[in-house]
Amino acid sequence: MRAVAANGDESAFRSLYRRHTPALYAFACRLMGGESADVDDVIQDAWLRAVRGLPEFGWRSSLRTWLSSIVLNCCRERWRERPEIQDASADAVARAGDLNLRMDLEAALAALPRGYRAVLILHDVEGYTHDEIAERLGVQPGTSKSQLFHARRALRERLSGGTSKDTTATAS
Amino acid sequence: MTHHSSDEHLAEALGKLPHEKAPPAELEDATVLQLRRAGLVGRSGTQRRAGLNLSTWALAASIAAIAFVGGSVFANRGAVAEAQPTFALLLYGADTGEDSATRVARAAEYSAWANVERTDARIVGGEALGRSVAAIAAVRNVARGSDSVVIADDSSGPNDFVGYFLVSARDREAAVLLARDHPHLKYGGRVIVRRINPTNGALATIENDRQR
Repeated sequence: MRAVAANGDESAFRSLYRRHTPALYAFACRLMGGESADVDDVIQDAWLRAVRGLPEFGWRSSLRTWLSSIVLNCCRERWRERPEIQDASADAVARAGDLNLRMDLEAALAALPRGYRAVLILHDVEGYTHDEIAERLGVQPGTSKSQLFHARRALRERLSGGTSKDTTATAS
Repeated sequence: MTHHSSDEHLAEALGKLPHEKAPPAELEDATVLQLRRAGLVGRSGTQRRAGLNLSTWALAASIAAIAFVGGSVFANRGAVAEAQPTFALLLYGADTGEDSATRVARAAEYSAWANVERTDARIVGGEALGRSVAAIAAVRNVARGSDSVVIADDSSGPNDFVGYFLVSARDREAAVLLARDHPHLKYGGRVIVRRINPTNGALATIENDRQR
């Protein structure tokens, strides 16, 4: 990492990329509701920002956590810029409609509103605390807890074949 | 089952989802290209030596391409010729069949936009496109099991794609900001921003991998 920050060593960057990108890619895919060109853009932009910011990275968190935060910010920027990908796509909802047969948790996640999806992924998949989520999403910890409650309920409904669309998710 | 216990089951199931997913193979090279363009990584060791000729070729090709597409709009922008385009701004619509005086005024407006000095992005080329003259496609003949190329007169086909600009931008945000300011929007047109993934850097990497 120091070789990348100090010398712009491409080989060192490729090692860093190969070590961390599979996790970042999985994280971005879930946040964006599935694989797409937007996810590729997110990953590229996240690495650009990360390498620019490496000299200031202070080890207050793990590198993986820091990189995940950058990916999260990149996703949120796209949600703001591109209303059509802010919430669950019609395709994701259609796939989730088949859940009685497949119990496809990934599809159910992708079908959630973006705010719910973010909190649920950060808390239940990635293991962040509510304080950490609140800091990253710029909300109060209580909002994170509330969003998680609603997100789980929405996910349970999707998993049981329900299609009600709770639109109270606000974290973006 | 109570909500509390079902929440626990749900959280447990979510926690067991795979934490890694293989990204597309080409994404690594595309990311490295972006970093190279931003001057954030260079080449090292054998890569630096092996890549020299290709880099020189890429620079020459880039300059030639810019000279080709630059046209009169960019006659005074030789100083930016070394910049490689990183994004394409594709102009759609807004072809309203206006008179020649209006077209000239509009071209001047686009030219003025292109010639604005910016810190995060530079226009390195661009042109207006005329009507399409032919549509070319490879068609598979199932009976013979062979492909043939079909060239059709396409002069009456869709002509919605009216022009493009090649941009060297610091990052995606800078390219989008540039596009949002384009006068084409004022005329009811659309501007699509596409990232350019040139093959020269990727080919250099493949070649270098073979040599290792």
